[in-house]
Amino acid sequence: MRNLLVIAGIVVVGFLFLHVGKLVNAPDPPPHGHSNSTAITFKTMQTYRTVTVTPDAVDCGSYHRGNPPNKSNGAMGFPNGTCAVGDRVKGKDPIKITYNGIQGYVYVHAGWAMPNGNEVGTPWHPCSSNGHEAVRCTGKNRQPGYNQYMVRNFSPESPEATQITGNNVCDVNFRPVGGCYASRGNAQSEGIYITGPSKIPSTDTAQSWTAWVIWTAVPQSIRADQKQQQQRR
Amino acid sequence: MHLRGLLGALAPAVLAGALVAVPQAAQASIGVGIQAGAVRLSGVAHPGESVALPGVAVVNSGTHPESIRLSVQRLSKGPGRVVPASWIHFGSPVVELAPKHAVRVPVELVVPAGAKPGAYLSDIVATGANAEQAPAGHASLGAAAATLLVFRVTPGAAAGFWSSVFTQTLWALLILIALAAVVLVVRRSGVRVRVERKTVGYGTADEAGGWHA
Repeated sequence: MRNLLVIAGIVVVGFLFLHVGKLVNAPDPPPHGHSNSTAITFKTMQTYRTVTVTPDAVDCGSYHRGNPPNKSNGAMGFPNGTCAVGDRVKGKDPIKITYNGIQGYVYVHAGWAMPNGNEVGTPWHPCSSNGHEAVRCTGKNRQPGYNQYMVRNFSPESPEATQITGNNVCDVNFRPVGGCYASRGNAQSEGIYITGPSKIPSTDTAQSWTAWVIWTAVPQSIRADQKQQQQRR
Repeated sequence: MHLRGLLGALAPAVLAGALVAVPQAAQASIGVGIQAGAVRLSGVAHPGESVALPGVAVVNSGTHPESIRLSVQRLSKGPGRVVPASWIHFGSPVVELAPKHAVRVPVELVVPAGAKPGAYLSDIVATGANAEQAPAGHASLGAAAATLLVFRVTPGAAAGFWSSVFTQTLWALLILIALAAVVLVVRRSGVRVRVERKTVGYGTADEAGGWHA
């Protein structure tokens, strides 16, 4: 019986010794006896990956196509009227996209075209007829169909305009040689062509629309990120 | 003479520069930035657990106040499962930022009980879109920036749970041992007292001071 008490006492004392010992242990002495050290603290600023688009809104002009009486020089006609921001052939690229930060990519996608203000209209969805067919164009000759529209972008270096979809994908016009790879300060001038739908609901009365194009700064792949971290170490 | 010649030569250049610079300065730009480093969970997450991830820093690099929306999308390539958007809760999913201003938004990871174990990879995307109404016939342009979101889910309950269970078990064991020790001491001392009383009650003393039963 006495032995049991002794064992229990040892367990309790051992437990207390281990836990209290951790709290009162002195730190290890410096490796070289008498050396001293001073901790230096400092701050580093947050690093960012940014994309800046200038200007933030552009005129879509040079209206073409459509069938009389649904054709005009001052507004998009039907079916499949077009307008342009800049002119690829004449070298007019009014939108400037600037990337900053560590290496990455510039992606681009289009949003729905929405009627402005209180105007009544069903949103138009971006479609494509080649490349990334996130939403296939359902009109004649692979043109936008009912409530669809097509956005294409171009740059001075691109051989032809490229279709943009609702999916965020590499903007091959940002750097035609080398894909959409971007590093600090890289910039590109781009323009846009828009093609409207083949038809819209008869109830839609909107005559003023806003289309959206959004450029995104995207990091390198996870492998590249890990490689950079290892290099920093 | 030389000065006049110099001024005559510089004047067209200065005028041309001003003509180019003024429209550039007047142009509004939209710009969005996000921290370059990945949002990464240092340890591992477990199904059914909520973990605070490091906050994500967002900046407005444009020329106007901006409403920046945070979301989770898979843009980057690499190994790992896609992070369901519902797992990530932002302190503020939309932040209003003045030009050249930044903010850090808290991020919480909520892993559902049925989550599959393994590595997860997606992107946190900050999107700024010109909130002002565009005039008729305009195309609005937007800017966005993404950073990696990386974490790993391992099966089993959270580490905190097991460590608390272990600690509680250890304390319970110690308390039991202490109680057992007290009981033993009391019992042993109690037995002695009874024996002494028995001796006192039934015994008689002899002349030599000894005890007889």
